[in-house]
Amino acid sequence: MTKEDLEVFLKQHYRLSYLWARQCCWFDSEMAREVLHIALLKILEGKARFAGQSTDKTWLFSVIRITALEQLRKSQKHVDLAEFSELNNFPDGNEDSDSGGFHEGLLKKLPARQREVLLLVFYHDRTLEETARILNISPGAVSTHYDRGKKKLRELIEKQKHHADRIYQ
Amino acid sequence: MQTEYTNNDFEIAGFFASMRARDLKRDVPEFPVRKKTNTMVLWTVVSGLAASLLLGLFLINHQNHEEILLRDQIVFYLFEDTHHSTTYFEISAESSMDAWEPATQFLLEEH
Repeated sequence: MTKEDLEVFLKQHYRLSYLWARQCCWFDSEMAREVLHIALLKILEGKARFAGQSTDKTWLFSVIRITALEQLRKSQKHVDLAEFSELNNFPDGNEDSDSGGFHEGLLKKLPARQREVLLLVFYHDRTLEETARILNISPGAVSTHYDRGKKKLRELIEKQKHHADRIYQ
Repeated sequence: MQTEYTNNDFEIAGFFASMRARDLKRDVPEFPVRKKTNTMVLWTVVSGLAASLLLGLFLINHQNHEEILLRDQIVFYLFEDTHHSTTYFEISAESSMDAWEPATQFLLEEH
């Protein structure tokens, strides 16, 4: 792929790349902007190269995720996944409407791996195999996170509906 | 191949579909435009700077360069004219073996 082709490809997927970067950064728009910029530079300067082992979009998402993890570690915002799943201390999803409110509030309550798997499968239409490649985990592990994530999210949605019904009654 | 949803998944799929619809209104930063630098101009500027620097260094070195003699040398030659009973000397900046005369020369001449 020439540099010009690469630029065209990145432009084509730019919007979804930004949204994925934002989802990898706990829905922090400012950090997502920075992460995406660094990831694009990595690609355009040839530091991250497409080896042809997956689809180009899968590779792009993988580069963005790795860059987001690096940036999160640098900014010390990284939360231990095991600890996070126990805490569940994020707001109930009625916060700032600009930050995504209901949807993002509920997704933040999921353990990180489950959230990533659900976003890639349902939001970005990736297959379980592609999701495994992006997250660099086995397809079996993806399947487990997929099932548990769906169950947990369904419970959260039900809980939220129940909560809303009580308010309106 | 797309992941197939079961009946129970439609609620989840609906959740993400409404999230996607909401994100359509989200502002996305502009694609960063790479500044295209004219390599020819860049090379000309760099070459010009390098040439100026070399020329400057050469001129500075050239101006400071002086011929330094190892030492200043002045030779006094003392001559004695025995026939006229006079002594005279010569001052020269150069030494020469031709002008050298041993101090015992007169002994040789008298014998």
